[in-house]
Amino acid sequence: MTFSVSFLPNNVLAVDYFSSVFYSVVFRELGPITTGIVLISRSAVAVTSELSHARLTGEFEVMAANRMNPKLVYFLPILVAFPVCLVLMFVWFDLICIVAIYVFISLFESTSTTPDIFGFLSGVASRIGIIDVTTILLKALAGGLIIGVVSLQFSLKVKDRYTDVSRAISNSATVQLMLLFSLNFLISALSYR
Amino acid sequence: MSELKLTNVTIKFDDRLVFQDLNLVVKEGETVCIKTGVLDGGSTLLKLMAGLVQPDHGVVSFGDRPLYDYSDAELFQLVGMCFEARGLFDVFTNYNNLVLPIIYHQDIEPSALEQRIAYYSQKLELAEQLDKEPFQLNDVQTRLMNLLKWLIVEPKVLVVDEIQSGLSPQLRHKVIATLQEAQERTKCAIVMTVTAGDETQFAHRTYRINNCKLEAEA
Repeated sequence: MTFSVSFLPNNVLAVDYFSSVFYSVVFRELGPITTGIVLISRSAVAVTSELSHARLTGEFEVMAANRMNPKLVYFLPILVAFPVCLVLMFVWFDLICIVAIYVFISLFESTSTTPDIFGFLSGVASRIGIIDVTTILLKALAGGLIIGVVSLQFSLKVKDRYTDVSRAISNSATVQLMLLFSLNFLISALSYR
Repeated sequence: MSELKLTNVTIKFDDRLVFQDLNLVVKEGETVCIKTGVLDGGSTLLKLMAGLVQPDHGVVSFGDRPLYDYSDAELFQLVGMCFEARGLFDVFTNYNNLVLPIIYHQDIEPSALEQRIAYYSQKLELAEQLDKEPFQLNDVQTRLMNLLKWLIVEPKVLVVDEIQSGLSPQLRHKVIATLQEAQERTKCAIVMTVTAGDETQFAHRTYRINNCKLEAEA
């Protein structure tokens, strides 16, 4: 992005270029995909692993013996936490990217082409409309929900074999990644046609 | 008087018949021992009594209501199942394994809960294990931790799966004495599966599993 500034036509301002690239690449697409991958690789895999282990060792029967509803103890928190997490991760990811991009450009670009931070931020903000916010929220909420549901579904398939656990983890991660990419593509295609 | 009743209970897993036309009544304040062998359905019988498995025919009831008619909160106070193996949540400490199911269901005074935990954990020699996690317990301690939880809950019926296995003679006497003391105070019914070498003289009645039925012993 920094080096490409040198190829900008004379009538294109650097601040417009930077904010446009950030908006269309990071905010609209890279952010949702990257944060989804992080959620899958860190949290969803851990949840699938723990729940699969709980199935294998009979903890659901223990829960039944304690008359505790696994839907309230295990499932509901996952289905609420994952979408909320993804929304918060989007925000955090975008903030970090904004700061990182600006610092990187400031370090490697001449002062004549480097936009000031407020110019950059207002350039980004001016591009974000209600459709963008709705699209991002939809990607986060639907994505988080789907990731949570897939984790639960594969965990609950585990029966008595030790190898069922690793199978559940790898299969759920694969399906989650495929659904994440498909969902993001579909929502983007519908929102930005 | 409320009693746990199994009426014409038949249960099978896949094609294997476990029990057929089983009838048993366990009264309030009574201790029943059931002598079991290997894979003869001892644990299944206890799970039937706890409502964790449903019979293919017949009904398990407490008082005049079948177990499936009770809510989760009512069942928690009604029947407690002490598992032979595991029976604890690996993600929690032993202390939280005791406390969390109780506070999930009941609005109990923390000081009263602490008192009961302290009292019974001393009796069962588990006081030093409370801060540890289930993976740090041996099999005997795991069974006793299961028992500790239900002694604190004080259900009307306690079903205990082979609690005596692996206990030293001194600890065995302590555990039986603690159960009897709890029964004396709360009038709970106790159903315990036992294996060869376990004591049964404290029981009011003893049965043996034979050919998918229960045979009473003199």
